[in-house]
Amino acid sequence: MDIDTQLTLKNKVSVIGSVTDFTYKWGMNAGLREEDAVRLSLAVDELVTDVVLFAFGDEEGRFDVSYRWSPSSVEIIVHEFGEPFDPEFHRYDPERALREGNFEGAGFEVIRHLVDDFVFINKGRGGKEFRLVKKTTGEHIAEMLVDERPMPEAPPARETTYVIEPVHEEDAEDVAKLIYRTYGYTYVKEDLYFPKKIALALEREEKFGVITRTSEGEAVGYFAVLRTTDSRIGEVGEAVVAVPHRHRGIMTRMLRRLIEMSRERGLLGLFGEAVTVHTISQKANAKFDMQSTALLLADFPTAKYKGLIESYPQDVSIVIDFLPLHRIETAGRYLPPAYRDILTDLYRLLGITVHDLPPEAPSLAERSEIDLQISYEYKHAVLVVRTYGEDLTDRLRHTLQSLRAEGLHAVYLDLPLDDPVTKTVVPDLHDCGFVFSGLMPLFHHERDFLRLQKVYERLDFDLIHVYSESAHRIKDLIARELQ
Amino acid sequence: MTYEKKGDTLHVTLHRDFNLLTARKVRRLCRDVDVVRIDLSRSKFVDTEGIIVLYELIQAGKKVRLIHPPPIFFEVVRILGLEEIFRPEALVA
Repeated sequence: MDIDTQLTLKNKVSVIGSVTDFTYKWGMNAGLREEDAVRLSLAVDELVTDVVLFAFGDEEGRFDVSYRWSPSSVEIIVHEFGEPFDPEFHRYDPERALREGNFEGAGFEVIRHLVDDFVFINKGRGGKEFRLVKKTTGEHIAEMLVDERPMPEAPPARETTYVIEPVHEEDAEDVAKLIYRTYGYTYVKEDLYFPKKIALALEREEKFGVITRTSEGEAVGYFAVLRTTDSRIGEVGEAVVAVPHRHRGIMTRMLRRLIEMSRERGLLGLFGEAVTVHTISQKANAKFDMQSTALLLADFPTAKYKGLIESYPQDVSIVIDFLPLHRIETAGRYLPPAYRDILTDLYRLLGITVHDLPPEAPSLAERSEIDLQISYEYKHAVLVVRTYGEDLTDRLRHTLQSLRAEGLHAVYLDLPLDDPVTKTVVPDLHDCGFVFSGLMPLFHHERDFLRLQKVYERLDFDLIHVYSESAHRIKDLIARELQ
Repeated sequence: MTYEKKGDTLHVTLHRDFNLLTARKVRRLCRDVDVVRIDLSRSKFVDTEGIIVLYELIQAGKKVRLIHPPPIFFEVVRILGLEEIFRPEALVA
């Protein structure tokens, strides 16, 4: 989920009305129902009022309000560098309010009820962050097909012909029906059961894809690329072919078309996230020349995979498979000594000869610039280091504490491989509990990142099934580090 | 915001949400009246600053009447456990 819009505001009472009006309009455009857009704007009003009144004392200050969108939810982040504060120590008491007229904590009480997630993150010297999440709703396709149950359709005639075309907003209902008829309720990406969310994602160009129809117009296949990162790469993330139409080359033809469309849109690479509960998806990715570059432990709770692997006893780990669309032959990167060999080999798999650049005297900013993306449903977070600062480990320790308190199962940390500090910082991060995860090519702003990870769940590595040789090597390295 | 004072009654019409800025003005205007009628037709919400001002007015013995309060107003009242003070039958004009 990339940032849609960011506002920088002064701590003046006059900004409150403007930011809440904007939030309401933005929420409506983001697909919230009107009553939910009102709830979100009221939550922002309460939070911004608190910042304006209390965060900076009598001093003049500025704070940021960022807006993030995904098909399933919207997130608003208020970030400020004001006085230390923790909402947990300012709990509302209705008896006290009624008896004494003391409404301390009332604003936060209202916020907690109006949004689906309210998270406070103390970043130490990096300031404080308040995150408000509101889930989008819509009509589930099952409600639109009341009398219909998922069932296999009659096998098509052998001479059936197929037309593969770009998918448009008008196809959203057909896509949702196809998913429901093929998978029942078991498809992992729940957004695909909601035509409105599919249409909105297409309208906002958050994804593009193809739909396959028979000559009679029946939708029998769908494949999409999602713009889930803040970079010019896409995630091959949604694919379905109706059961009776499988083994006719539809998936391969759709992927070829998607690769063409991705190139036309200037994408530099495609990646897939393959579960390790089995190796089926990894094998399919390998068939399309994707290379495994990372293993993300405990990427999501097994409950998210309902119906398919209910008996899987631990969080699901995933392999990142990557396909470069734009070939480069050589590149210079600052490789940490501990991972030089494996990173060199992973680059080689992508067709890149990497040169390990020599260490440089670090030039550190006063403050690190670290982006934080929290996946509330998947119970993990990604920290992306944009710029190294002197406060890096202090910031990380504070942030990890806050994230742990939120009950996250895993935290991934992305380090830019074109920054000389990455070469030397790894031992400090090992001390913070991070271990290797892999190479994330072009993952943020077209830069390559080394991904480390810190996992709070116990995992049985024998249950993590990987397919490719590189995935096995990554898994072995992680297992050694965790020992 | 527009307002009109007639005798002991203040009639206020809000043109935006009942938030901190509005709450401060309403508090100032209500000092020397006994009855306060607030038209909220154009407000999406009343925030806790607005709720606090209304609480103060009621506690001060003033007769408060809300015209077309937004649906979320009573949701916030419930969240804050203030139903005994903010009763719709007594509050809504």
